[in-house]
This record gives sequence, C-alpha cells and structure tokens, in this order.
Amino acid sequence: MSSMNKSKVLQALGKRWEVETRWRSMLTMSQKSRKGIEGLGAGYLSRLVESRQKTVDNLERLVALTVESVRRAGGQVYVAETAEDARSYIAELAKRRGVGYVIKSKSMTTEEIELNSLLLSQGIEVVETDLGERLVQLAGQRPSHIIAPAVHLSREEIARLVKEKRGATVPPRPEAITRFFRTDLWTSFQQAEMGITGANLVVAETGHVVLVTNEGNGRLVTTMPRILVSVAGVEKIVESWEEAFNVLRVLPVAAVGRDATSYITVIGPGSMSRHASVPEYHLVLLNNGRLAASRDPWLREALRCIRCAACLDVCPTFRILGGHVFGEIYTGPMGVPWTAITEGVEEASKIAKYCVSCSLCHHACPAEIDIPMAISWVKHASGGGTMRERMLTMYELYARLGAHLPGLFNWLQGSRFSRRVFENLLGIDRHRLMHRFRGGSLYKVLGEEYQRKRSADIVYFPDTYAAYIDWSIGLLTVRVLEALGYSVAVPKTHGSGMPSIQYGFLTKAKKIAAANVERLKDLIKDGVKVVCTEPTAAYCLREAYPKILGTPASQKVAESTHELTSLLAGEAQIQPIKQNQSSQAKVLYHHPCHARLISPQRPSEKLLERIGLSAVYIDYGCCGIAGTWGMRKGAEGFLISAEIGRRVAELILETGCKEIATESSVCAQQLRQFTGLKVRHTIRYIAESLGVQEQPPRLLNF
Amino acid sequence: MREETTGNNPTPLARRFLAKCKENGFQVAYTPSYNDLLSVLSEWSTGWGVGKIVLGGVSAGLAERLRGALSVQSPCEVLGEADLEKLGDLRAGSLGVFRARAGVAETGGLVIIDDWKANLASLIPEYSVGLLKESEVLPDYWELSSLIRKSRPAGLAIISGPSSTSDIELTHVVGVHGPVACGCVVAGFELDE
Repeated sequence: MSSMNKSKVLQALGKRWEVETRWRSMLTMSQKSRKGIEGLGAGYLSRLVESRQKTVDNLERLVALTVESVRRAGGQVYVAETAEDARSYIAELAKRRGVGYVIKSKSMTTEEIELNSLLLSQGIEVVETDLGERLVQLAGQRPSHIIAPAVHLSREEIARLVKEKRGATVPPRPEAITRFFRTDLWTSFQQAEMGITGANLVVAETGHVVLVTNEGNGRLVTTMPRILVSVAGVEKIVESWEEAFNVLRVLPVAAVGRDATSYITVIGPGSMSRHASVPEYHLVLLNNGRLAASRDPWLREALRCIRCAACLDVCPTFRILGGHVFGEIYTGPMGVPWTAITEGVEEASKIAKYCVSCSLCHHACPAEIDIPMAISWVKHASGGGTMRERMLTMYELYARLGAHLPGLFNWLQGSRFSRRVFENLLGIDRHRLMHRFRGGSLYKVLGEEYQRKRSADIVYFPDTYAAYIDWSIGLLTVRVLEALGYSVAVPKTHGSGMPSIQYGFLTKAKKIAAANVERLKDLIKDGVKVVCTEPTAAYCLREAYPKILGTPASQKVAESTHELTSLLAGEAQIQPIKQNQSSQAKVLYHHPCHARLISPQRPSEKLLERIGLSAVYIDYGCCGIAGTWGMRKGAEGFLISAEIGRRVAELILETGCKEIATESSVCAQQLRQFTGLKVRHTIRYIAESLGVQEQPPRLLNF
Repeated sequence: MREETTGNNPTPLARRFLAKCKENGFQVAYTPSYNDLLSVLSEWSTGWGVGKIVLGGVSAGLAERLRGALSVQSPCEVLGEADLEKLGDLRAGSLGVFRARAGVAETGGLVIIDDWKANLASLIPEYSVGLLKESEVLPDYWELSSLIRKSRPAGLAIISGPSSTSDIELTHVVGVHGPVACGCVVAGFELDE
C-alpha cells in the first residue's frame, strides 16, 4: 500500500489561486446540489437507487437486450471486453472508413480506454469539443473534475494557452474566450468525418443513447459528421424510458442543483443529423471489469454511479487537492472504486490514500453508494495502511495510558521536545492541538454497577474519548438520561475502531466490531436503544459494522443504535434554559460528517433552539480533521487539514458566534484550534437546561 | 395527460411550462392568435438584432405565412437541403424558428422529435425560438416516456435553455456552441396549417 504522494500534495498546496478557487467553487456546487436534492422529493431518489441496482443485478441480460434493440433499429453494436478491444474497434473503423478527422463530445469512458492517443498515433486528428475538455487537451493535461474539467485553469492561463496553441490573442475574459472557441471549433464540426460521444445512459428497450450536456457540442457532434460512434460502459444501461427519465430528473439536480441541463440528446441509428439521419451508427458497449464488479460485494454498489460529481464537491481533500492529485482517469471519491473496477486495486490504492473516510460522499450520493466503505476495502485489499497508520489504529491504547497517567501525558503533549519526538516517531504533527486528559475512565467514575447491568432502557456506548480522555461527557450523558427517567447501562466496550476502518485494516476492524457487537447484542432485547455521544461511534455501529461483519447480530445492533441528540429530540421535558443562566447567546452548530448520515435532520440544532439558544448553521461540509488523519504530520494530513480548517473558521467567525456546539470530539479539536472559540458538546447545553449539574464543572476540552 | 386549449389565456399547465422555461433562461410568450405570434417573433428578432431568419420543421402553410410577414423585417427562408453547405452563414446574427413537438412543464424543456430541420434550426443559429401548441405541453418526463414508447423515434432533443458553460473559473457564459439566447412560444391556436 503506497502512502500519499507528498511532493504532489505540496505542489498542489503551493498553487494558492487554484486551491482557493476550487474550495469556493466546490463549496457552492455542493450547497446547490444539497438544496436541489432536498427539494426533489424522496420518490425520485428511491426509484433511482432501485433502478440503478436493477441494472447492476441484471447487467448481462440488459447488455443482450441493448444489442438486440440497436441491431433491430439498424445500428451496429460491439461489446468490448477490455479497453484495448474498445479502442481497437474504433481505430479500425476509422481506418476502414478513411477517417482523418474526429470530433468528440465529453466522455469519461473514452478517457478510460485512452482512445485519443491511439487515434493520434494512427495520424487521425482528434478534437475535443467540450470547452473544458478542449482547454485541457490544448494544455496537454487531463480533466481535474468530471463536470468541470478545466476548473484548475485561470482565465489568464487560458488566454496564454489560446495564444500559444491556437495563435490567437483573446482578452482574459470568460465571455471572450468562449466566443473565440465558438468560432474556432465550428471549423472542426464542419470538417469532421466521425463523431464520438460518451453516454450518460443507454436505454435497453429502444437501444438509444442519451447525452446530457449544456454547451451544445454534444448535439453538434451527433449532427454534423457522417459516422457516429457512442462509447458506453455497460453499467450505463437502464431497461426502460421511465428509468432513464428518472435518472435524467436527478442527475442535473445532484450535479449543479438545477432541474435541467440545456440539452438532452437522444441518439441512435437514424437519429437527427444534417444528413437527415445519421448514415452510420456504432455503439461500443464496454465491460472492462464492470461485469466482474457486479459480482463483487465491495465494488458492485459503485456501478450505480450516475457521474453527477456530488461526491467530488463535498470531499474535503478533493476541494483542496483537486483531481490531478486525488484521481487518475476517474477522480475524487468515486474515482477510487472506479479505478479499482477498471484498473485494479493496486492502481486504486494510489489514490485511496486521499480519502479520509468522512463519509460526506456517501451522504451526498443520490444513488446511495457507500463510497467510503468501498475505499476502505480498496485500502485493505491492497495490503492495508503504512506502519504509522497501523500505529494510529492503536489510539485506544494511547488513550487508556493517558487516562492512567494524565499528568505525564498532558505534559508530553504540551512539551515542544516531546511533540517533536511524537512527530518523528508516530507522525503526529507538532502543530496539532491535542485534547487534554482528565484522568481516570468513565467506567471507574460510574462504578461497576453500570457495567454489570443486564437490563436497562438505554445502553450507552461512550467510545474512546468519553471513556478515557474526558469522562465528563459520558457522566453528564448518563445523568441527563437518568433525569429524563431512563435506566442506563454502560458495558465496557472497545472504541468504535474507526481508525482501523479509515486506514484499511479491515481484519482488525472486524475483530473490534465483533467484540463490540458481542458485548451489546444481549443487552438490546425488547427495544432497548444503544446511544452514542460520538457521531463516529454511531456511524460505525449503524453503517460500518453490518457491512464488515454481515451478521444478524450486527444488523440488530445497527437498528438499535441512535445518536444521543436524535433520541433527546423527542423528549418534551427539555425546555428553555432560565433567563439568568449563562448561555443565552448565538451558538454555531457544527454538524459532524458522520452525524449527517445518522441524523441528517440536525436534531441537535433543533434542541439548541428549543432550549432558547439562537443556533446558527452553515453547510460548509467537513471541518477538515477526519479523526486521526488531520493529526498526521505535514503533507500526510495536517497541512491539508489546516487549509480546510482556516477556511471553515473564516466562515464561522463571520457569523459573530462566540461559541460552537457539536458532538464530535475531533471536530471540536479542529474548531478550537482554527476559530479560537469555545467549543462545547451539545449535551452540556441540554444538561444546563434540565438543571443537571456538570461534574466536574471545569471545561477541559469541549 | 394533455390539457385542452382555453382561448386567450394559457392553461395552468402551459403557464407552469412557460414559467419553468423562463427560469431556464428562455424568453417566453403565449400567443392566442397568429398575429400575436408574428408580433412576438418580430419583437424578439428586433431586440436581438437578427439579420436573417430560417424556419426549420415548420409546416408548409405556417412557413409560407411567416416567411411572407417576417421578410419585411429580415430575410426569411425555409431551411432546406440546399442550405446544408452554408450552415456556417447562420452562426452569427441569425434566428432559427423551429417547431417543437412537445414541452415538458416540470423541467421546462422543448422537445424535438425526428426532425432534422428543426434540430438544425434550434442549434446552429445565434438565436432560436421554438413553437409548440398548448395541447402539446406535457406535465413531466413520465408522459414523455409514453410518447417515446408509442412513437419510437429515431432521435430526440430536449432543449431547456441557451447553450451555456461554466468551464472557465465557473463563470456562467451563454452561447458556446448553440444559441446565445432562445425563446419559447406556446400557441393557443392551430399551428400546422
């Protein structure tokens, strides 16, 4: 398993304009996408997941149906087993027809099969006609984003490129540059003998290919030349037009928050062309690992991808590093399973390192693909993480030692010398603010009685922070639940094991998950709930464990698990804090990444409002720490984490809030470090409203 | 489900369709009569500074009337096979008027079905206007699915706004390869004479 490419990361971080532009652009796009998806209605999304899964489950049958439909309509179909087969078929066809000039519309699949280089080697001129694709083609680069291929290029760079490659002087204005290419590419449209498109969808019942575009180049590519070739991965097939239109309804919303793109073009044999109908039509259906992936339990979900790029836009590391670092042909989070499908896990592992397992991509994905778990599997299948990453999975041991020797550990964490040693030995960046240890564990503070309880209304799963680093959150949680009339059991459990999942040590993660499920399963009879104060713990119990273990017990634990605040949201006893109490103020609520999957409706924010606080929420995404990842030395974590942290802090400080409420201990670490504000766990506000005293009263970390 | 024409005012479905088209960047109009259609086309082409008009996929009767009336303002021709070598002449300062066969209210799109002339008139010129009958407005894609299954077209295009890009610094720019501006007219009268 390779580690992050530090020089590539440092090079990317050095491009200040690019980092800033990408972060702001992706932030805006993800906010638009989220808003659009929320307004779309669940029917479209559930139908999308259903129909995409139907494709995955019936791939071979749908390929056969498509072949039959296209042939019946008078077109030619070639089912290519490999990338080599596909590109050779097209190159041979071009040769046989004497084609010297080809125009292309945007297509990831033709990037996958590396078509251009083969055509060029045969002396065929190939011109990309999507503006962004044309720009990266002229720059000799590859796209850095699926739907915004040239987002990394500034207007000045583009104007220089036009001068250098096309010999024209254009002012560095998007309008002027666009105008230039309107004229420049028109010549190509007129000259071309063959048009090559990708496909957003292939409709099996009629054999049509559907293209979703905005610029109009897709329409011109399918209108002007005499030979038309579409290249589609077999997973793009849907059986019926109803399924196709359901995808078409969701795709632009998930991509850019719009109900429709400018153009949907439906092509096939005999479709509309300047020659009245396309004289010669070929559809190349590409397997290249897809059929095998449809039978792979870890990769098959990725075949549901509709290429909306919502996962790229929310990804914290993609926002900073972009697709030239986090990606090969396929970029960003979805790029990892897709590289595994098309090129194998070894290749995929090279980019898997840039995933921090925040799970925002899973939350943003309209096809509900569990991308982070697929990436964890890629890391695992390629041999797991590095030695340092293995050491980070031992964080619980570190926390237990800290609980025993708080004075020593707090001193070590505060000493410049020992931080340098930590940095060199463990790879923990010396600039990272660390949590202080309170001393002792929650289990000791509560006493044996809570561990031994066999019957209770609620089983509390404290995870490592509340168990060993600062037990005050755990104690307060138990007291609040008891004040609300619940009986609580706190069995001694392991931490959730998230670092093992994050770094791809799935064998170790499986052991931890099995031990925790074993400990919890007998306690959750008759509707007993498992409650977590750490969102990552709830995420592991609810989402990750059933996938890692696949047992009925893990499923039962998953179904019983709740985040604390979603449970408390239903409690009528929680009332406004009395006027004379301290926290009558505007509080920023930070929604941790893992909480978004478990409690997407932000129950904490509603609770804060209910107790009389003015809760402010900004959808900036991940704060950039992602557990132990953001603690890692320099380019392996902290430098990227700090880039995100500073930007998030800027947005938070603009609100004028003086305090932050959240549930994640690591988010608290990041937010304290970069905003300088006081961060408190939401349970502290709830406790205050109920008159439950904090014991001890001193706020240690959050 | 298609709604019937109601006379001088558009049906609620047609209103919803036009509102959505407007949101997508179309100029929109409802024209209860031929004269209204003529004045809308005349006003828009003047506003855009159009020097030439081409008609694509419009019925012979309507084409004849529009040609006669619009030629007073700008040269107006019916797109034919003879023009195919001169498509480049339409790239600047011209308007393509085309006949759409359906409209989708939910997403605001004009649908061209198996009509290469309408396809070219909607794509090549600098400006374009799509015409459809009020009864051709469909509520959503589901209705269009049925239409496709029934008519089994070879090709289809759904146009939901001007050609646009955000490829340079995510700045929105219109008129990349297709029209810079476009319009949509829903006719409350029989278009295909």
